[in-house]
Amino acid sequence: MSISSVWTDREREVLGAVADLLIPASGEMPSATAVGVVSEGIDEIAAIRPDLLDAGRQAVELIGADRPDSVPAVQAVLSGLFGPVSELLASAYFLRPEVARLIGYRSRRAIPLDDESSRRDQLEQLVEPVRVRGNVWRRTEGP
Amino acid sequence: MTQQHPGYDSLPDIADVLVVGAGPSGAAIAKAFADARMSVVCLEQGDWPDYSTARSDQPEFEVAAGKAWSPLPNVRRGVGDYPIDETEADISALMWNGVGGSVMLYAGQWMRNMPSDFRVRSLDGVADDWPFTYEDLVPFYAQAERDFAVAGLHGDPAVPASSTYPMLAAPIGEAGRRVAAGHNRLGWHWWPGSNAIATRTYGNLKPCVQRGTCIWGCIDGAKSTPDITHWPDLVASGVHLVARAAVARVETDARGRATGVVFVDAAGVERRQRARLVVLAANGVGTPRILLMSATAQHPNGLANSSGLVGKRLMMHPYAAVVGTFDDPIGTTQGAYGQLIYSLQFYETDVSRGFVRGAKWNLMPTGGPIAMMRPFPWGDSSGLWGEGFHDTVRARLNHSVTWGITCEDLPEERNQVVLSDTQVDDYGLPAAKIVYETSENSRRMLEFQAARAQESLLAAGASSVSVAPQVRETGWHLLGTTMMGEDPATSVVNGYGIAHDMPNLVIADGSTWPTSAGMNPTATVAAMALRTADHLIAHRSVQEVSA
Repeated sequence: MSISSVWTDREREVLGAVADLLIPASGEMPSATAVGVVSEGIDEIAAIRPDLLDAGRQAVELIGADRPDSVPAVQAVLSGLFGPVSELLASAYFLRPEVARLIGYRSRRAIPLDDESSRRDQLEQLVEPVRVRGNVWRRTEGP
Repeated sequence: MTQQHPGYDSLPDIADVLVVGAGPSGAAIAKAFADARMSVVCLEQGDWPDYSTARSDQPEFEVAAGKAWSPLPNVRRGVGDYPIDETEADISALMWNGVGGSVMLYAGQWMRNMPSDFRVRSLDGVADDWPFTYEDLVPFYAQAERDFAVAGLHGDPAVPASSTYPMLAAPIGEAGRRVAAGHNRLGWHWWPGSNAIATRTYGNLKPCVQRGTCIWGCIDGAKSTPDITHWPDLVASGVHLVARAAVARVETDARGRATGVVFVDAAGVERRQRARLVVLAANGVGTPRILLMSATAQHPNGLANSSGLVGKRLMMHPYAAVVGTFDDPIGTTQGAYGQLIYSLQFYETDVSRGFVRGAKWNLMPTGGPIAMMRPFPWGDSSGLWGEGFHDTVRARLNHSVTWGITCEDLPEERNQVVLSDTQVDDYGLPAAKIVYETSENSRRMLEFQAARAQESLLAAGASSVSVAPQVRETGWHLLGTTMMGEDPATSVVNGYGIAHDMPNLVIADGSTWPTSAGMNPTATVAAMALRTADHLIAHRSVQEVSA
């Protein structure tokens, strides 16, 4: 099965409605569906986390024809599935490049360590009050 | 995978030493025996780590890590993972079954136990003293700190003096500086984090690049784990490391001496490896599981179990987390994740607090956006979703830091590892079952420590603080299930990990701890393995073995 056919149209539709309840537009931040969470994003997540694919499908079955119209209603109908489904949708949202740009986080980058000599000086200066306060451990006698 | 599996026909017929488990204690003890020119075979039920699954530099890292690098074997279900029945446990047992052992999942936090940890009965009137002292371990701590590449700052007045860290501590970051300043105002202890994470090129390790993904696979080769620090060199020097070899039982002769083990190989074929000395280093769940699976008519309650204590006294360090949110950015989407700083302010006993013993705190970044959504450490998420979503993300991301609190867990025989009578692993071997209930002493300690940690973060300038809910997935440290002691009637092994019932069966992991201390255990586990090896090598001429 290709990635593009993992989700059915109905699953995308139901999950899209849920996604926009959980992640609506606000200020400069777009809603979930406005950045392609259900048209593309959940496919990326399904490829990485099959368990979240299963959770999404089970959620659509649970919701059935009676679409929840509020966050509490979603939480009530999904119950224990709310955690994985919200992770599915939020993960898809944060992976969208435009969202990453807006929140200032895309991925973990390499940050080389600073100069060891200056770091040592900084640390020694910071710990000076701790040294001055002295011992806080219990001394014990030997065996 | 980074290594090839050796052919079984290359293994010695009878090894001088057979080690079960390729984690830090197995690696440390194998190195010591190999350095003494003894033939060593190590059987590891899992495989070499596959860092390509970690995706630590990719945007999808955080969501991907939830499966392949889960600390829960029941979720991960990787090669070598056996099921764990946790239906009667407050806390889940976390572990990594593979070359490197469970430190594949650790943050790298490296703490020696305190002198008082070895004298709990004498000082506080609870549990048991250890059969040796802090001072006995000092030279082995020093060696372990070199072998495991520890970076730290010397001179902490809260611990006994030492000067054996081979590298300087990593930067503590803006979050560390703020909390340190808060503690200085309160007059509370703190110190730059000591971590088994290289801060410069060291042996096979490369310098940390502060990606902050330590517990989900360090793709940068900076975190000290035995698959990097020990096994490549050991294999090159002639040690036989066999991955995907699940040990089913230890075998014995008519005199009750260990003769070797039976294991199931990667193809599902049952094989036998004989040895003069058998060392179990399979963690506080795996080691008692093997001993219990080794029951025979001669040993109906399992091996080395004349005391009846094999599997009992399981300790897992109840864990608390307190998160502080600051109004301005503090650089906590990544960083030197091990521990930016630690505090031992509330480590030692003060009976006026309503409990005995104490806890160690470690300050850690909170991570990327997906981590801002999860119930741990943020608690109730009912107000997160919907209209408040974006404001919540903005408030938490890069603005928050967490105190992790490791509480000393006192031993109780009701907390234990047994064999499951309903579940089996892929080879048909019994699954482990853990039974664990958090004690009243631990609950009081958790409450006290969490309250003080909130004060700490407020003193550091946090605009809000919250205590994380107690969650199951906190059993990082598996200790106590084959207790050491002087008396064979009340302990399983002696102070060197040698089974009272069987002089050529040795336990080298944290199973042997009489009490749990409140520290991350790897430093002491590794030091004890080195001390055990030192003793066994010195006495090898009089070592009793199977005829």
